Amino acid sequence: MAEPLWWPVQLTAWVDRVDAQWCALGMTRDQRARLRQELVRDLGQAVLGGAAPAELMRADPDHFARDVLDAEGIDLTATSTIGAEPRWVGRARLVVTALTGAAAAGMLALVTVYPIGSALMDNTRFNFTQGLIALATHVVAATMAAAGGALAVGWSFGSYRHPRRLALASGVGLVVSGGVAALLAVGYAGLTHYSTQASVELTEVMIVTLVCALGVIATSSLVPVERLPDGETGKRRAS
Amino acid sequence: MPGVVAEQRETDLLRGVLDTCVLAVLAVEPTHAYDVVDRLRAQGFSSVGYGTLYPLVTRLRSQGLLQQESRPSPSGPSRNVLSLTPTGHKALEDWRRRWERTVETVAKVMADLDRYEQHRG
Repeated sequence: MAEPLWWPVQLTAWVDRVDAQWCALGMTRDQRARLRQELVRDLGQAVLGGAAPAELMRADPDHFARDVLDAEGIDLTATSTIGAEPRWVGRARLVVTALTGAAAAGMLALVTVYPIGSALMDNTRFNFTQGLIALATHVVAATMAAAGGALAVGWSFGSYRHPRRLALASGVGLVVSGGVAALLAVGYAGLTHYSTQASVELTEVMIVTLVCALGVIATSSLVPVERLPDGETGKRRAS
Repeated sequence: MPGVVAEQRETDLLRGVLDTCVLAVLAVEPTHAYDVVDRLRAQGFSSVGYGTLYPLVTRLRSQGLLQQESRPSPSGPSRNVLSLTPTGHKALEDWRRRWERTVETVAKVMADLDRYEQHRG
């Protein structure tokens, strides 16, 4: 429902949070539309009656949303199991998905793009242009890996709110943390004189995995990971 | 008593009687939800806020004790006014009787306590 012209804008953010909680608790789009319409209408009456928006927003939106559903006689334990998914589970799944997608795309890059750059790097007498090409192939390989992670998140989280934003945030996280991880891993490799021992290589992989995971967590935390009720896809919402 | 515990105690006590008071306020004069908050506060229910009252009104409506209708307002958009249904009036009568009995019972217990303390003191 569109809020009236005299509607205090700060109330919209509060109502959005209540609505998001209804969504997380498994309410369908129609149910949420009705609940939101009634709430907006009632808040509007309160504002017209002289209530200060700050006073109306004093209630915690998450508790408020639950209280309203309880008052409506909606059994929260009987609603979709979607709402029962703890937030950290969604976040953990997102990180695993992003890293798996990045690893798969990274493998593809390893067998297609990377050998070109690697061959040029091994040539100790390459010229400036060849050096740029070698660098570009590494950038392309890294971009492929990050894009793979982002695509995997976008595909896997299509039934969540903001799948595109989640995918973008994951991709950005992978690019930034991938750069940091590469520096750390190469630094560590330098310290070990580029040892090919299994323990050293395993440590390098762990450094990259850990730093990339932290990067994805950091950037994706800017986007809420909330699953939508059945039959309502994030792609449709985003359109 | 620590402040938080005292506040929780007040909330617990309030929970049992607030619905009766809401019905009583609306029986006197049908109005909108936030006005009920104002009136309850004016009567001394200082801790009652919109976050408490809106879900309560929603519950009373879904129980068929309250109804909401849109009434034209001379100053601005039409107002949604809450009023008691016939079932709501019956519930108020019943809850009020129960409350009065509870108050009498508690008063008797407290009177016993007063007598005991006077005797001991």
